[in-house]
Amino acid sequence: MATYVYAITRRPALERLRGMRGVSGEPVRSIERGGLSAIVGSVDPRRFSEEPARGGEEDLRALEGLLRAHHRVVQALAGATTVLPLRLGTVYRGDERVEALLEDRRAEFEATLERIAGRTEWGVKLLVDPAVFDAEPEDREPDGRADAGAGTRYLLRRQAEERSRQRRRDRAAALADAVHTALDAVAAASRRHAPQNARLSGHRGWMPLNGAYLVAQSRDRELLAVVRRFDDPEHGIRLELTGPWAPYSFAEEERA
Amino acid sequence: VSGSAPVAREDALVDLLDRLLATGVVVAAEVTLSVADVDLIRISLRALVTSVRALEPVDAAEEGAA
Repeated sequence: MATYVYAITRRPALERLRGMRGVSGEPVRSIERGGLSAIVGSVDPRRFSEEPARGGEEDLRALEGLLRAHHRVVQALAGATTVLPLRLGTVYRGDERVEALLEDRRAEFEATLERIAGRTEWGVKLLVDPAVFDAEPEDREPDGRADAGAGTRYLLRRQAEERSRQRRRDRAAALADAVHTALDAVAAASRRHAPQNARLSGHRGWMPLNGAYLVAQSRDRELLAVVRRFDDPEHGIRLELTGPWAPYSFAEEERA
Repeated sequence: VSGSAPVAREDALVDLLDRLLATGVVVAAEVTLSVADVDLIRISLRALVTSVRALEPVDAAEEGAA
């Protein structure tokens, strides 16, 4: 059996792990060394390595199962203690290797735990509905010269539409920067993820901001206030808040 | 959904993908699950996303490109 590692913590919050099942349906437990605890489960390494993923529906479902199981363990701990998530799919040959890991990387783990202690990750997405956002009258009625033929009018209209679209795109991007700046001012750290794919997320319109914010628990309300301040569905502007998350996006120092 | 938590909202898969596929502390694990499996899955996801983009009407496909 191999040892799958979910996360590192100082206080394993064992009561949260009771009855918890991991990525292979295995019970989740803790390995402790020098004041640090690795949250682990015993898995059959062959289960993961026999069949390579091919990207079909089945693989996606398998991936989702793995993601959700991993997340369930990390998130259960995050509610009770400071938790440092490890990269999905971190597997060691046995418990003694994990003990060595805790010893070898102790200073680094301690420093990171210190950095994320008392802080929570929140996700904020900005969704812009291009049909409503920043629409101006002239966008809709490009001035058609009376003497212009139908073809010319069509071209003029297309050009005006394209200009309008580009202008609104630019303004959506500027709005995203403004929202991000305001959220970042409340956060201890922030990070912009790539915009989500509409097919996977089901959102409509543009997503110029898909941000993650590491926020001191005492400042959660300030973050929420910023979200509310910018949220303006009537004008095609929606902010979507997700979380609280374990600090996945901040487990590693930002690399420039 | 775990246990008897009262109507716990399930986090969206796409939000999990943002957070779990490219984050978390990387340690030199010995079994290659992370390398073999997740990298392949990431590649297949990229292929999926690309093919989805190609099929969608312009408005939907340009989401977030602003």
